[in-house]
Amino acid sequence: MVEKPSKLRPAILGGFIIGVISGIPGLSLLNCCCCAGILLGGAMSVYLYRQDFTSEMPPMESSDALILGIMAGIIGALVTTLLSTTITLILGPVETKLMHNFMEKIMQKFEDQGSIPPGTMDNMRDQFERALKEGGSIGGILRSLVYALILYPIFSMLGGLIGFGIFGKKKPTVQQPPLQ
Amino acid sequence: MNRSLSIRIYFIFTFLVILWCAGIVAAPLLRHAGLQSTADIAYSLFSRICHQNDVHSFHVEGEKFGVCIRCSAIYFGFLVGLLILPVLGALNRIRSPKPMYILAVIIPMLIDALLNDSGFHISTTMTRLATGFLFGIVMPWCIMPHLLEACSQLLHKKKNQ
Repeated sequence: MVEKPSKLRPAILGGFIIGVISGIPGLSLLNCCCCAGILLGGAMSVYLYRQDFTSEMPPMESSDALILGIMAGIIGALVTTLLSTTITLILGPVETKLMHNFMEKIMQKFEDQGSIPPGTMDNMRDQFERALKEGGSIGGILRSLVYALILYPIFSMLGGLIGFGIFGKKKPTVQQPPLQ
Repeated sequence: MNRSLSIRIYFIFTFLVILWCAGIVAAPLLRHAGLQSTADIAYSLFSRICHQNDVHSFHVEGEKFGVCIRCSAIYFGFLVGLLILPVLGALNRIRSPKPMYILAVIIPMLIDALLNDSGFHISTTMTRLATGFLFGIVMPWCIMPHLLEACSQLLHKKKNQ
């Protein structure tokens, strides 16, 4: 029997989805809804893994989804830390101030127009400032990495299991008998 | 699947969820008790997964919960769902709901959150509680059957090695 496909590629892709959603200030607000970004990354890795299966392979199992979710979560934690640190390093202290002023003006404009509720604006401001503050020190980076390595694999695993419930079980393909 | 194994996994998982929910309530109580550094660790951990906006949070002893109202509703709903799971049927006979039912509980919460963030509708404590709790209480049905099956498969594979 043909072996199951490798889990590495879908886990990396799922991890990148988690990393991009969680590492970019503003976009990381998606995680404020029960870690939606992390759950999504875990579920997407299962979806992508499911696409690699052919009819000759043994069916995908829930243990595959569990392992895949944990792998995507670990990769996601590393990508998130790397991305948020890189953003801070690229911006630098001067650029950080410029960027801060720029973001503040944009947010103020949105708030004055009333197009975004004040609560959401405060959340965005907090997220942005937290990302800049923590990305700056080695202690902050390490603390951020440790928290991410604890939380992301757990939520990504749950996302993987939810994803298995949605996409998991492949219907057996009916083999047409050869025409006589 | 081995019934005693299912029960063991169920109890371990439930214990971890109880710890998580206790942490949400413990954060403000620790701060109120003057254990500032311990409370800061708890708040900092929960800040990775929640905006912790003061206006959108429940308070105890004048301090906000570790997570906002919506997140609290999800986690406590999840715990309630997990606790009533064995009451409704044997653990190894639970079936995962159809994907359309999973989407049906995700969509109201997403609509409430997204419309609020885009300014089209203002979420209230009630909508946050209701949509979060609905999502939370259904999730154990989606997760537990697969979690029990996955743990059983992994242990079986380990034994066979």
